[in-house]
Amino acid sequence: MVLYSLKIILRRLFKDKAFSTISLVGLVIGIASFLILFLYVSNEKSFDKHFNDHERIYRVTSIPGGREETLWARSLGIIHTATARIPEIEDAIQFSHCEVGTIKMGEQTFQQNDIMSVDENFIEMFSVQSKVGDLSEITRPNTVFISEDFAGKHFKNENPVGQIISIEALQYARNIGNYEIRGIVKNTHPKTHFKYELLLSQKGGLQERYEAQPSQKTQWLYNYIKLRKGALPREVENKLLSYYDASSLKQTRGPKDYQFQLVPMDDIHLKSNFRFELKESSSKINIGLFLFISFVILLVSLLNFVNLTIAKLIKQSKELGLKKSIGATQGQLTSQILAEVFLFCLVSIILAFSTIEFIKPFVNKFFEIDFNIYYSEPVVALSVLLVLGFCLGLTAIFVGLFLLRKTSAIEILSGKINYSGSHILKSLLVLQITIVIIIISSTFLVNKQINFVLNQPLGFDKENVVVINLKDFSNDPAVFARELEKQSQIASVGFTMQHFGYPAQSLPLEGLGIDGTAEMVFANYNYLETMNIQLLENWISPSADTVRGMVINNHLYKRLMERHGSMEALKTFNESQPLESDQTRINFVGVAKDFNYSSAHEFVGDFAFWLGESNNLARFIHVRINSGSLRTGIDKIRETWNTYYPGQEFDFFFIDETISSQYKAETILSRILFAFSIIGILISILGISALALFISQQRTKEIGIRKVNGARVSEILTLLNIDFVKWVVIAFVIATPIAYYTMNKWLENFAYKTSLSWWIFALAGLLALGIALLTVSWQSWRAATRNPGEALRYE
Amino acid sequence: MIKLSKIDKYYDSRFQRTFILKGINLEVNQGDFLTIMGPSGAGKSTLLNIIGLLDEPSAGEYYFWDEPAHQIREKQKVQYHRTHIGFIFQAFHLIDELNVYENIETPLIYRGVKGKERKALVADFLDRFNIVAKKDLFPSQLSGGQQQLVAIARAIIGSPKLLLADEPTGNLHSEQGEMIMKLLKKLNDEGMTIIQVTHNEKFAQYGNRIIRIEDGLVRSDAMNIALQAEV
Repeated sequence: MVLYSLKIILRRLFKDKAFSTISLVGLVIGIASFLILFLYVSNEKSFDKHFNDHERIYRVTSIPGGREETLWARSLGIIHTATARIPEIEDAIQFSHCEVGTIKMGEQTFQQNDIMSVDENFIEMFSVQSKVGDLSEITRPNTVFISEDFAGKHFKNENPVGQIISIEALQYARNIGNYEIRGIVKNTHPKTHFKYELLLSQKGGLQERYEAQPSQKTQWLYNYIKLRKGALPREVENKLLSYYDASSLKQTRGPKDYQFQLVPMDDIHLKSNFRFELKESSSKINIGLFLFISFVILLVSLLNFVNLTIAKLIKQSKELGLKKSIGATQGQLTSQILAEVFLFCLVSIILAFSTIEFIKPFVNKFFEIDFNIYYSEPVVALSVLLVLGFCLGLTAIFVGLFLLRKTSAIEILSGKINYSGSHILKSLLVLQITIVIIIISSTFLVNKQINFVLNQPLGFDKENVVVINLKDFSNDPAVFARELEKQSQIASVGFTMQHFGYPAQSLPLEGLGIDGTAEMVFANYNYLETMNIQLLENWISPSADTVRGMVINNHLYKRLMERHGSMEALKTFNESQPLESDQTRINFVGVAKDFNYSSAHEFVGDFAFWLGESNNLARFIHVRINSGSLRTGIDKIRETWNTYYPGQEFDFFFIDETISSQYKAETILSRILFAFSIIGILISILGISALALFISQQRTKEIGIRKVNGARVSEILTLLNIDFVKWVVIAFVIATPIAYYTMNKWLENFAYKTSLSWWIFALAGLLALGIALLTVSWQSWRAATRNPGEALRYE
Repeated sequence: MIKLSKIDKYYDSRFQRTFILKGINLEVNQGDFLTIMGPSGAGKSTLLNIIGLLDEPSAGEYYFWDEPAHQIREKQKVQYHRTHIGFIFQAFHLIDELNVYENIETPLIYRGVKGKERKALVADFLDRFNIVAKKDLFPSQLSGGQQQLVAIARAIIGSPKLLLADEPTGNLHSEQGEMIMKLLKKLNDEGMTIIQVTHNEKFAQYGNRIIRIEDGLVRSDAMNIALQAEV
């Protein structure tokens, strides 16, 4: 029986090559896209789940009062001291992480990523495994363990143990000392929210810093704890707070109030938007949406497949009737049909996996994700079962509905069923087109919104500005700036400590008599000029050599004027406020036109520039290059840089690129939608063309008769097209309100939003219509131009 | 063995009821070779399908092997199709994707006959119908007569008691038609009950009894005199 069915299935597949290929290609595209999205999402969700007791591990964050908006992953050193007194905590660790440091091995100095300093508790909590050496030696001063990757890169054939690595720079610290390699550790599990290349001992070179941490209000270390079973994070937060409130640290300089928060480790990779996050999280990617789209695409391709399968069954309906007449049970027939579907799906899944392996690098590049299939994981098997189940289930339902229940053998045998009579098939096609129209119109809208946002008047000029990240302040940056300004390609040079898109400092406004905090950026006056930020009021005395003082934006200015009425009143109020020994009185020197410091997700808020001339403002050197000479300008800057800062890396970026990277989530969304509208369109073209072919085959006789009676080719084509046009119109009517509603919801995410124009829907509908017309005409052309004698010969 | 009394078959449309068969009374005995004749649209094929349990009458009583057909369950019908009834059609209805051997084998597969037994049985039939040389050919490579031969082999391989033939010679030219009719006659002589529908007066004469249907009514029912005279 099995062999017999297999024989028929295979022979039929090869006999009707066009139809089989179309079904197969449609299904492979759908399954491959589903698998990519589904496995990507499950990969993202499984981050850090391989650690023992992962659900009980938390990151502790400390949030200074007034800085609730920009959360840091790093936290106060006092947390570690406190954990020893809190019984709910089973285990606590602290470690440092340096994204890029400078190290020296032998005579070679180079930049190294992901350097961490850890202790034996870290090794235990995150199950670090040794490949060579004894990990307990991490407690000894100045020891370092290297990762397999690092060992493979730098010690190809030699034994690294006993070699010396000199740590020249880690973030703000320099010349930490020489570390001896004591072993090799296995690479970090790829699905971990951090990564290490070098594991330094906390003893020795870094010891002093670690010891100083509990008595400082710096957030340099990462604090992680493991709670006992059943312990409540909320209570631990409270205990941390009361410990801090009772400590002498609270009374020292800096922010007085802190909040403490326990962030579940399981959430970090998916949700974290912390500053100093250990590794890029996927919080910018809407995981839920990914999952939703993956199922939609699977649905579209399965609907297409089911539709084609039923069309094929209609072709074979005589055979089914015959088999019934010779004593095949309904069960036998159904299982034969399902066996065929099963085989088809299995082949498609295998092809889909090979396709994925092939296109993986392109996918990763296009969506800026890190996607990989880990075949040993049960989720892969699960997804395959899911696809098979979906496929078989859906086909079984529709085939059952359509063919076996209601129709008697005799109706099948007489060939009475045809495609155009079936409501189920029509609705399948309509549903498919509906989804495609929704996806297409969403793509249009997302693109429109992104363009709208990127072309918003920002209040400053983002074009042609290069930002250089200065790390070494030993040479006077002012000299460097003056040298740059001499070049003909360069318009101006400004210094700032925070560039656009980089989190700003916060300025409490109580001292000025109003609520809240303003965002504040330290910069020099030239920076305002370089960014073309317009001043509405300028109280800077023209004779002044250097500009010191505060420039506020118009938004804040208006609020202050509402409260105080005039600048004089404000000054009097300000001067009446008490002043701490280390504070300076605010001196207002200007009002800037409102500009958009954050992204278009938010409205313009209170903002202030603290202008000064000190050298440490030059962390980000902004250089405006005259338009048209961008390339030569950069070359000139590089040349000057190399003379002034020899041996230092020329680390620069364009400010407009940084600004557009704030819309990464939207950009990725638009790419996903774009890719999937293409896929959806492709699948629909395949489906429509197969159906058109099928219908024109079924109506061969009718076409022949019409032609004998004088119908023209154009009339025949209209006849065949009219059904599809009807279906597209119905799909359009269903799709428009759904799309309208969803898009309105999505636009609510933005403070500045584009309008939902009617042409978005019209265009999507027209596109669908055009595709249907073209495909149907193309497929029916042969039937329409065929010699009617030939068509009518067979009875 | 087959008894129809007052069988009606009709379709209801909005304003009227269209009768295809009206008050058909018919009895067929074991060993009969019954020919049903009548113009197009007279309801011949419908009658045949009702007899073959492929269709159900709208009214009336039908006894199949003395069992009331309206009480036969779907499962039992399948059993009857496997063991009691064989069908042949005007359009042959061979499965295009299967060769001669496999087409003949098909009913046995649905019946769950074991491989060895199946082989022997099919070989026997190929031999009996003289088509051993053609066993690897596909339907499209055969002439109409040969295709119908294969269809008959397929219909009777399960040794049914009743063979229903719906215009078996309709798509064949006379010489091939003659051959098929002779074969049917031979099967009838061997004891198989046959009911055939035909337009062809000459081929009708192979039956030992001819009924004529017109507009859903039996117009005449007579023993075949020519045949009796011959005896």
